Amino acid sequence: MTTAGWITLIASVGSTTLLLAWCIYKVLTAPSRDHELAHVEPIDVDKADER
Amino acid sequence: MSYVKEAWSSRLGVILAVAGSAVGLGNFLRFPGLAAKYGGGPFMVAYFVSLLLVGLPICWAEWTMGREGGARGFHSSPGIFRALLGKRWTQYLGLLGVLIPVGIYLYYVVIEAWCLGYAYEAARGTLTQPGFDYAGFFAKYTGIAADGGAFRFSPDSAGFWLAIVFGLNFYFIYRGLSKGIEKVCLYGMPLLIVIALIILARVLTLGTPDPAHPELNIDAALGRMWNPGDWSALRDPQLWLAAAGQIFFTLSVGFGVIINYASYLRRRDDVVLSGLTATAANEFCEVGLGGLITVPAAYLFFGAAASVGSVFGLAFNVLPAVFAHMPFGAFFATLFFFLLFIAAITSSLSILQPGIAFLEEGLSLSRKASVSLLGFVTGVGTLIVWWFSKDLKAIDTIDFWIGTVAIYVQGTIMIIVFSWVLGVEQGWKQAHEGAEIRIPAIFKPILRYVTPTLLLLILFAFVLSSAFGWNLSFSAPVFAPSSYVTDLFGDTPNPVARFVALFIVMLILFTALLVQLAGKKWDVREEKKAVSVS
Repeated sequence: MTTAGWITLIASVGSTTLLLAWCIYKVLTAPSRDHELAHVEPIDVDKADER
Repeated sequence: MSYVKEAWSSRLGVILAVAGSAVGLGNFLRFPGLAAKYGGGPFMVAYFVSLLLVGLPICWAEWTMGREGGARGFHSSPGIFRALLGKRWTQYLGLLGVLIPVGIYLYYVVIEAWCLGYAYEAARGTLTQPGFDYAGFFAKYTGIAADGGAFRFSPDSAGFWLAIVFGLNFYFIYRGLSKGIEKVCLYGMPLLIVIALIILARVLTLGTPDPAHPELNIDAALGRMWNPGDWSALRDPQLWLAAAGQIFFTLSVGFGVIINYASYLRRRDDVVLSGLTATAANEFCEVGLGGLITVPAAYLFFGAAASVGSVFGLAFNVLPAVFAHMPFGAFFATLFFFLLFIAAITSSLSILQPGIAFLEEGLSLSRKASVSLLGFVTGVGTLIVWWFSKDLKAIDTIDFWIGTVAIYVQGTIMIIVFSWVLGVEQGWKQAHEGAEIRIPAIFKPILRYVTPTLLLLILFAFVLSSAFGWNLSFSAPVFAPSSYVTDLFGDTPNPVARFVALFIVMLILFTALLVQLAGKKWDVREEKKAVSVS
């Protein structure tokens, strides 16, 4: 593989890997929400807007 | 009226579900083939530019519109478009958001069954027999030679695995969003990455597998994939069209899945970081894993000619032969096809959910009834795809008109609605409600001008080149209609292509009728709401 090939590989694979690592870090260190995502409960259709 | 509302149970679950939807067969098969074909560097430049100008903007737009629609009580594209735009007719703008996933499922589940069936064949050593005829086996397995050729039910046939895979999909869909899709993705996605890393380690440590061919070594194999070819290829519109198309399809944007998934979030749940994380996970699987496994592995054993070809050829003819030449080949072949199966099932589950959501909220059907109705419709369609297997004509026809053209159309509608009808300012504000990171300001003009323009250009260029055979030249234009057109309107039309096209038209009309019925129900709901307010 040529030097330019290595640069292409490292830039492409490295950038996507670093982006994913950064995103996971941000997600895991985000302040906890004041609610759970889960809201599996019977709700009134007419009150959907008030969620 | 009260009903049990679907929801995600964790943030990680949403992100993995969206990533699972996006990571599919294309990540491991289509992307590497394109990158090798167009010469590493130039393709990657076009690919990342497309990611920034097309992929990410649509992704954020779709997450934002979905969450906003969900906050207004809607989870299907027709309902979300109507809720956001406030006019009855706009529900039809979301029609393709129901039709496309259902249409894609009809053939995707068949390919998914091939993957699981091949994993079984690999595990029992069929694929690693000396002198095995891979092309012949694939032809028999898929019924390429004649219609009805794959219509068998023994464990060594695709039909057996199709029945299992079809049942599995509907079982998980019936279990619901958090207990079905989310659970599968929560375990499936990490498993997929672990398996891919194991196979990657195997490929990268192969060295020079055949001493008689020292030129076929891992260094040259990686070079085949990543060495920049001619940089002047960046002037080739075909390369840009291929790169933009790959970004568009790999992210699962524009066809009703993300908008549906995001609708189960609350208004103050983040969508910017979640959308970016799901995109990053897909890109890692595609570039970081897919880009280092399939094409280099094919090159190592069979040279340059084997590393570029059709997606099916690479997956089912070349790669099994590659594994057969490796130590512990049966084990790695089994892992690889199981990896493809996981990638496929996390995607196929996602393309069933928009249909279920629409039937439940639009027609007030119970979970059991909506699963049964969708199961019946997709069952009929899958039977058609399965039976009309000659030259894979049915798969090819649906993939082109629904799995490609219709997705471009729906994606273009979506970004125009977000950027021009709702307005970028409003969309920008909505996107940042509860956001944990900010979208860089440069994306505002990109969302307003660049992405819609590019999508329109891509749509027209794709249709003109792929359907009407335009050579993408303005100075010496040539048009030679492709088989997608001549099969339907040519002097010697293909009866299967015509039959499948008729089925697609009937599916469109049926979906339009259901959207009409749903609209009436939503009219009543709005009237009740207006009365209660007054």
